[in-house]
Amino acid sequence: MTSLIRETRTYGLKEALLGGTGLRDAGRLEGFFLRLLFAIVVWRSLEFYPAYPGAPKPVGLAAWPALWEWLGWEITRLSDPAFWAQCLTWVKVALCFYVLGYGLPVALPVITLVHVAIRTLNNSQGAAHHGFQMVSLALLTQTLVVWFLALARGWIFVRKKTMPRWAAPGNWTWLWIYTIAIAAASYIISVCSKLDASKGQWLKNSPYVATQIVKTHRQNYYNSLDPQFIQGVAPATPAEADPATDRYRHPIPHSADWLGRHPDFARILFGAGFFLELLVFLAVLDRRAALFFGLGLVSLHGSIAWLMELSFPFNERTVGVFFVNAAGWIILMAKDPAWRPTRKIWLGSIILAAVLLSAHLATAASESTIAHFLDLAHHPAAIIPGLFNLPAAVKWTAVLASQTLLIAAVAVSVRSLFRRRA
Amino acid sequence: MPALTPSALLPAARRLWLAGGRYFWLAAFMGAAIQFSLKTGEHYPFSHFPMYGNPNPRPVDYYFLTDAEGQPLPVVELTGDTAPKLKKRLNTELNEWGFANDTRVKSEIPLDIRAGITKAILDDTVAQSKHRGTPLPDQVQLWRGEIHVGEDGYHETFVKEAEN
Repeated sequence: MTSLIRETRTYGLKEALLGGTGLRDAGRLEGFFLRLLFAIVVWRSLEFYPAYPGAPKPVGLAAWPALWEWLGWEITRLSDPAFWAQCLTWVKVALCFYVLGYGLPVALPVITLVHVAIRTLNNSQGAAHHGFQMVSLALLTQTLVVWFLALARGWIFVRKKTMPRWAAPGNWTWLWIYTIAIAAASYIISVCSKLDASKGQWLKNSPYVATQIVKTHRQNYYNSLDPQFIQGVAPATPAEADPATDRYRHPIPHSADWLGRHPDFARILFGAGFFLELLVFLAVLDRRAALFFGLGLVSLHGSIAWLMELSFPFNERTVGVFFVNAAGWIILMAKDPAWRPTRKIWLGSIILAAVLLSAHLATAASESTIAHFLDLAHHPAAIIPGLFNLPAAVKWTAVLASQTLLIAAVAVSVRSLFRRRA
Repeated sequence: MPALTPSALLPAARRLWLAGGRYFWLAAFMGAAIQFSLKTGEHYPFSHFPMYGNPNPRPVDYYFLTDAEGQPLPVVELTGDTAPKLKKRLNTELNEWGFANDTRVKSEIPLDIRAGITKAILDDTVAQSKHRGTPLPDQVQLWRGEIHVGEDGYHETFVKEAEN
């Protein structure tokens, strides 16, 4: 607060709020929006409450019996709804501090501990679930970052030195970029596992992923018996009757059937995702790289959700907040004329966004491939508006605004690359 | 052309060091996180994210629950868990038995042992459904579906793994 007042007096409020934001840096106002949006993501992820009474296959923290003995406590205590409600109250208070940007060295560990503990209990049932890891890892990384910065600031204060820019309050670059780094690392880990498990043959064998598409559709059907996962068609009867199994025979999803018959196209499709995950470490280079990789990753998740009925909403949301970072782009455009789109770019962006949105809404009920691509084109822009339970009209207006901004951000990023070359 | 004296080079070197330092630490952090996760494996929040890591032509299996007549039951609504979770639980038990008994291939696990493990998983699932107040029917069956892929496309087979 002191530094904000001092900078406001010296440079004015606009500069104090927008000043730190640049191509590779996140300033005060951008930091606030990153924390606000991520706090909503974290809170949403805590709505999934698995009240398992035991931890038969302990993993992570649950697998440290000495720790629990020392604490005189058990991780299964989280399955008590009253205690969980208490935990959520602590998290709520800590998230308020987190959003405001005060007391982070204490607030972040509280949020991290509760988030990691409840998901550890969930994963200690003998069945690992990978939908929340990125949020936990992001929280853990942010805890390490704020602890490091607190130590560095303390050291500089004790030595009575001038605070360098990298450690100055209001500089949220490290929180932003290290969260991108840990998210990128988790995608690269997945690539390493693919190469290891397949002995380097993943790309060659990737057409067999089509069989997994059939499996995930079947699993989704048996989760809820929702006929949409078996194309709404009653079980097919084979030429030779087999009463023991006929009732379970369902049509093959069109996408799996098509990919199975076009293995080379399957290799190109799955290969694109593979290389995107492999090269995602480049997202830490600057805001443009983060945007391009962020759009790619969100589209990758959208494609997987479409093909396999397998979604990772919290991965998408984390990538949407930190990689795509629409708020950061608005601030950069407002602050720096070099990053401001021209009128032509704005006009082109809004026309393109409006055309895409109209086409999407017109084909929303369709199951055609073009309708899926139009849906996919809105996926990155719909992530942040999707965090809120907005009425349809407000939601689609927000999506249109986000889409316009993202198209303009891509345009100015591409323009900047050519400008630099010249 | 300016002279390449040490004092002229110093600011440039400093700039390079500052920019390089940022990426060096980011790369070191990512490298450490990757190495640590791959070594640690499945220990939340760390994971080696093994999903769909080894696509191959072998049959792919999945599990589901039915009533005594073999009519499918909605797994999530009645147990709170998903059909993939049924499979993961069963695989965890089978793998544990396999590691303890030096049997690395699940199909080599003796049938009576496998039957005991699948029955235990089914019993646990039934108990869990009662605990959450959405009890499964009195008689439940656990089925395994297998998807085979060949020159002529896909076909499926089914095996009743356990019943209570």
